[in-house]
Amino acid sequence: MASVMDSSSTDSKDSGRFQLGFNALPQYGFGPDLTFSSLVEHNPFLFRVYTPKPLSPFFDSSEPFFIAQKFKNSYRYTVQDFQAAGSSSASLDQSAIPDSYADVANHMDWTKKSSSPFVTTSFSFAWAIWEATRRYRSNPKQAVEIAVIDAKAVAEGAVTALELLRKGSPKE
Amino acid sequence: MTITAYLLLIIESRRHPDHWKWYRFATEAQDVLIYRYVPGTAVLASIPILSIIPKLPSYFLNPNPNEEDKSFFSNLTWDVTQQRSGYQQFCQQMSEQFLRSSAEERLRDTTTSSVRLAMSFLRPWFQRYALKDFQGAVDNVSELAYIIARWPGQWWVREHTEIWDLIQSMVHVIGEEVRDAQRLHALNEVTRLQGVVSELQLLTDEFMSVHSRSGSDESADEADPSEPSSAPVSPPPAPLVPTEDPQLLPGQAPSKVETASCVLTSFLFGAFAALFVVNSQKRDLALHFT
Repeated sequence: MASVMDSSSTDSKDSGRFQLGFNALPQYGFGPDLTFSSLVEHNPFLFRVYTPKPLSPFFDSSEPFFIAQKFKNSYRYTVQDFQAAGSSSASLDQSAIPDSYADVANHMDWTKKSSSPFVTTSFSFAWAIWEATRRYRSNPKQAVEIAVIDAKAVAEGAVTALELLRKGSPKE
Repeated sequence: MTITAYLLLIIESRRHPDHWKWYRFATEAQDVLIYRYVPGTAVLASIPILSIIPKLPSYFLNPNPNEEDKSFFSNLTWDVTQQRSGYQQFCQQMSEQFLRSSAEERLRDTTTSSVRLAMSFLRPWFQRYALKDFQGAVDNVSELAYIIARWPGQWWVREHTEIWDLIQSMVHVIGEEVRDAQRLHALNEVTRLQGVVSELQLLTDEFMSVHSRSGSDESADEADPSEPSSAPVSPPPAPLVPTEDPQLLPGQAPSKVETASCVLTSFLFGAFAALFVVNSQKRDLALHFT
């Protein structure tokens, strides 16, 4: 993890482009670039708003921390099981990400969340703060946390929601 | 109707009725979807929102908070009860407040306040990595602080190129303090553990010396023939009828009475011991035979 973060930061600052804000996301929405693979170069953090549950005392950091609803009940909670259940290769290939309109629709539709193969995150720290305060205010009994995720560490399985929504073809 | 328009109509008709609502949500939240799972190794830190609120830059906070409203969110400038559609308005409001503030306040918000918020997001990770990879830890917190700094007014931050250098310097100073504090803590811990080990060593030495002294006393007692021993000297199997020992002097020969007394005492002692042992095992024996 650290090595991934370190290399990204070194590249960005050595090139002298990070501070000038090239490829930086705008405050609201996206610019002309919508693809995760190009945005991640200068937006190395993802944020996830969630309600924490107690981790197992035997939790190991190599295990899944967030699991998509679709896989929560299907597999045990180890990375090896996910890898075995997925493609034959140990690491996830970008092409293995489902890009059907039905998958992204299931994710965006609150009534069908349980069949979503995705975990939601955001490039925006401000959106995370805004959403977390809104959730906490609506239900103060539930703890709300913001997880900071190393975007490059999940790059193989990550895609912007807009990419998928735009890809959706009518035949699907 | 052209073919393109016809195809677009087909596409639109097959889309979910909420398609454009989802598109707007995904746009404003800058949504990223991760397939299957996020491994624990990719999660740098997880911080409760209640710990983050007090670290927000000033444009998030109300300069004149309502004294009567004591709720946790009363100090915030936006209405936290807003529904999702209010996020765009929230962004505009924060930018306006940032750009309305003085240049000094803007500089403070884009440097120290941004570093403060970035540190609150990454504190546990930073403390873990400050000793392992100092420069990497500093760089990552600086990047997050810069992302925070440019959020309310990108053009303003782009014009002030010194902000990046200031952020880096601040995080570097914090990193040095954290690293030195951790080193000091580690040194204190080592010193404390060395003290514990020394005390244990002293105790061990003392125990060994006491033990060896008492052991040597006992062996000295056994070895010293001049000291009268309270324990009866185990006699050699004493014959009932003493034999004539040519090496013994006439005055040193044990008397018959003494020999007989020893034998009798040994016999009685053995008998008592046997009775005691049998008595203690009587219950077991009884259980065994019944």
